[in-house]
Amino acid sequence: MTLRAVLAALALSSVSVPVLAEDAAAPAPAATSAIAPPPAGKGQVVFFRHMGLMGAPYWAKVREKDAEIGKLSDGVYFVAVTDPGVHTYTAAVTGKDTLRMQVDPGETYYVEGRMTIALLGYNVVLAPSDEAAFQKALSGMKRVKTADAPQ
Amino acid sequence: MKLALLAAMQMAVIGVSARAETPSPGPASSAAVAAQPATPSDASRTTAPPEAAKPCCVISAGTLVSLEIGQTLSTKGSQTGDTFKLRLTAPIVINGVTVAPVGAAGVGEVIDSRPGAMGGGPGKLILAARYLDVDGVRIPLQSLKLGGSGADNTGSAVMAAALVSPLLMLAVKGGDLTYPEGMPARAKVASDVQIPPTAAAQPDPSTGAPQAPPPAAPAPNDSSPASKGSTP
Repeated sequence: MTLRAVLAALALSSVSVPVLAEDAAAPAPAATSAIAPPPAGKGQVVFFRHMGLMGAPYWAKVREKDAEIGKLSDGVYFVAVTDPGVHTYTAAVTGKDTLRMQVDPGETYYVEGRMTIALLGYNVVLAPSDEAAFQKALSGMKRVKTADAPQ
Repeated sequence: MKLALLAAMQMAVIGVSARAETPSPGPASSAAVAAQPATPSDASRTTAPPEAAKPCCVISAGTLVSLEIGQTLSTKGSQTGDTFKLRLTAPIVINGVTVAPVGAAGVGEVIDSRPGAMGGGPGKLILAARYLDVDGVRIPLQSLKLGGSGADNTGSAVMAAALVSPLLMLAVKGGDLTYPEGMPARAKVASDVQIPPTAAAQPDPSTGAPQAPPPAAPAPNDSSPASKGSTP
């Protein structure tokens, strides 16, 4: 069995994974070159996923506890404003990943959602990142709203 | 009785004039002044406000501090919740007074640590700064942005599983991450901190600038969690 055959089989086997339908209610503002600082007394986390072929049709919901924060589809980012403290975020496609991080007031943190191939579909990895990596990936990305943003 | 009253008034006048004649407050003198808590009656009689003496001993929130990791940390050896050592690499100088010298010890916390996983999932290591300890005064720290992930080997794991055996996928591990001792980092002071004047009034013999004494040896009852660290 060649690698191509394996990859084709993997793609077919995971067709049942929901495919992202862009949230029509959430208009996508144009990508900005810089993220505005968070409101006073708050911190913020920028979740982003640069555009790529790996798992492009799939998306991952980012959650904290049971609350959905946003959806990471191919080539999007969103900004989650939150209270300072330790936060634990999870994201899942066919596999789940968790990231625990400290958010301090007035600070902006960057987390990259990386799609990785798995035996049955795709996994997402929440990886700590930085502004330089975000700026590098910004071209071609568009901003989407968080799940709790006013419509 | 009148004599005693006159003597008291004279003493008060002498005290006020002595303070008023004090030249523009040098760091050492202002530290000494700050050591004397001003009463409301003092404040009403002195020409210079007592607040003028304070800035030399107050580290403001948001002050940037340069640090280094005081011990090697890795996704293999560190656990979430562990504390680790930090060291100040540049002195904190307020109005010409070194209030925190190079080498001042601090403590950080491992917020997340996971080794590379079977199947190729990358290891993760995220750190936070907690405080610096200067002569027993804790300077709270925040905004240490130090975290990352190791190499993601899931693609290799899947290829190995597909081309050889699914069991081989378990043998492929994700990359680990190591932060060596001495790795530089930056953080910010989390809130205003009043440094006792006694820690900020010694002149620096090389520059002539006042300098704080070197950090005191840990007290016998020092229960700093960093002491549990595994510095090589």
